Amino acid sequence: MTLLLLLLLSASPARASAPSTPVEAAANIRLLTARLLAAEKAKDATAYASARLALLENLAELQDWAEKLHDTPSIPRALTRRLTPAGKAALGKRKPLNSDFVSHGGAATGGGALDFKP
Amino acid sequence: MTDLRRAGALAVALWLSSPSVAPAQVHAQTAANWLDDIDILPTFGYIVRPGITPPHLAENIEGFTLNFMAMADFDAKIRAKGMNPRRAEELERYESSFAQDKYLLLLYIAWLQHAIERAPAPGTGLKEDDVDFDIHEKSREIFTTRKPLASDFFVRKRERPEHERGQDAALQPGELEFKSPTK
Repeated sequence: MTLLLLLLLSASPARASAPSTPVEAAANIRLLTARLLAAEKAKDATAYASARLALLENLAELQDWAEKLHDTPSIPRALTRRLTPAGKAALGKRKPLNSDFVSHGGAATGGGALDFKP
Repeated sequence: MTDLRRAGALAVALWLSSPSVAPAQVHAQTAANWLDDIDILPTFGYIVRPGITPPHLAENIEGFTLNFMAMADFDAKIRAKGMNPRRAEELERYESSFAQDKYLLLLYIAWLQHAIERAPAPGTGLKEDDVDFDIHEKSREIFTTRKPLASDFFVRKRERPEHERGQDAALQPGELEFKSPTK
């Protein structure tokens, strides 16, 4: 049963990474959480590692979006900042830093009110 | 048509067919306004489920995110269609919960993020039915202004079933230090 669930979840569309909108990131989080738990039950280290990293990426980008919510008229429809390659590489080893993100256009944000001090 | 809208349309139909209602013309006008608002009123994504488990956290994260997008849609439609007392009341209700929704969304994200960070491989602690840690009370509100720190979390003290005792000596109350495997 667990194996069947794992196979079904593994066969889901490959939208579980690189989200471009908050809704997509949130859907990915739900999907990847189920996939991670299925991999945990099946003791499938490869599937677990893959789901874990993708899940941490989606959580980090949605977290960054949510931190900047200010009021209803200004709710961004798309994720405004993305993880840098260095930020992605650090996922799972430490918590995301504000400096791990760049604006969607690729320009460095230079930090700000959400500066993260380890 | 969503379930909510379908249910709303059905409720209006039942209401209009009720023998105890007032003049039909008034009802027709009220129903027209109500049905018009169905296209504007957001469908809540709230799922908030009891307990703290990874699946519940993920569902709640999705629910709150959908809710924020519904709020944005609602606001845009109101601006396009114009305000009326009912819409103003609804908008005020959503606006008043904005800060609380943001706080809860960030809290759930931090909770799930930390659960996954703590479990680098199968068999290292991720469980479907619970998480073993909590978030310091003083840290919770701060998540709306900064990203979480490892020191914001602590291992939750709870009574263990008899058969589990002695198996989790590492789970003690106190600060949970998140150490990078590269250190």
